Amino acid sequence: MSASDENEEIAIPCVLITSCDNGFKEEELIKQILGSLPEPTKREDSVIWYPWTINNKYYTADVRLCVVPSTFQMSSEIAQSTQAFIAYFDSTAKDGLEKLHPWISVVQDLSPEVLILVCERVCENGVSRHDAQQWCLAHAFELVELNPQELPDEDDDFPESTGVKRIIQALNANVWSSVKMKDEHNQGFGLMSSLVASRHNNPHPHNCHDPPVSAKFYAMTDLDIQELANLTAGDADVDNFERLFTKLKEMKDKASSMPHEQRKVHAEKVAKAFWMAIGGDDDEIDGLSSGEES
Amino acid sequence: MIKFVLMVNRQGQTRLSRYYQAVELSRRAQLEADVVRCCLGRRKEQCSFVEYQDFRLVSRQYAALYIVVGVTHSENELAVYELVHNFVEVLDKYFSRVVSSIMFNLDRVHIILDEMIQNGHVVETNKSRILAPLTALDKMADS
Repeated sequence: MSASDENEEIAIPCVLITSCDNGFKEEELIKQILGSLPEPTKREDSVIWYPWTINNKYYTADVRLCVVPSTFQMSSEIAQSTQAFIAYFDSTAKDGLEKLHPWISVVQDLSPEVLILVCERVCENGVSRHDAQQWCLAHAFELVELNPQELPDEDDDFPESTGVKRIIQALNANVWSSVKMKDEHNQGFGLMSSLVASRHNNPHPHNCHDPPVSAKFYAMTDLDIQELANLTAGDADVDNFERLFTKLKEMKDKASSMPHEQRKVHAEKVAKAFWMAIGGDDDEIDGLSSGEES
Repeated sequence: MIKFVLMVNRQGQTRLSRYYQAVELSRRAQLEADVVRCCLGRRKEQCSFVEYQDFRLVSRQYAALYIVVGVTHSENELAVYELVHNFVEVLDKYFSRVVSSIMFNLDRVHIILDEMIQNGHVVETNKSRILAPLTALDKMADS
């Protein structure tokens, strides 16, 4: 393998998966996460890398699910790319958690963002829920049972996800180094600039004597309404407040040149916009429409 | 009064913290770790109010997210308990049922929280009024 290929592999973050239970293969968990077991992208002795592209509402990210049977197979390559750690243990054996011991120092060194402790189901005669939870608290892990005894309460408005679903959720809630944010959710970053921009441009003419019948007119009303919202949402200074009333006056003047019916529609729109802008409740004005839909 | 609001995931990592009483940055990590240990170690059927040092913790779990509020003894803990629920309902209304949205919209969560709590006191509980400034901002950003 050439040097550049190697760098590329290192650049892709990986989820280190290990099992401390001889009866449970790591591949079983990968199968459950991905739905089926894909072709490995790489294999080195007993370490195997599987590809996964995380795709959700916010981002896509290429990651590798990396099976590492024990700490002896750790290499600097794996260490550098590990951003999540999932460990399966046998909850039916009293010493189930002790087998994880060698991993603790490794995990402390790497400090991955996501740390998940997985078992089939906590077991009173082996590792109890209390024991597992205390272990998790001490090492900042999250406990996930693949097959929990208590299913989440159906009546709960915010039910907990359990099992593999929760593992996938936790992995989705991480910001991977390979993350590519989706554009439509970048709007937060442009918020300030768009606020500033709209405050500085006032493109509407002040006297409008054309017959107000067209879409152009409604577009302009929308602009006015937007400015109203702008004036109330921004810093509450005296200038803004004065401007707010000048603006209302302007809009009223504009409306006075309209035919009777349109004037009513326009007045309704302005009143609604003003109500919303000052923080009124939607419910109060819901259903008050005269039937005109914009 | 309310001393702080924390949002913590099941791993005990702080997702959001807001302090209404000065706590040195260096002491926050220690405080948060301690508070998390106090609350995450509890079972569901245990009480949501915990005495901690010279104040009280009010915690509520929503799926994989814990919200912990530190309050003084002069605060009504049941009211704070309901305030937490109101806060979550506002988030739920704004983000329409996606809990993981919080991670990727922390600025919005802060705006919402700041509409509700100022200086350690509850200032607004009406959902529409809490969301009004944010809705106006979003309209601006979209246009």
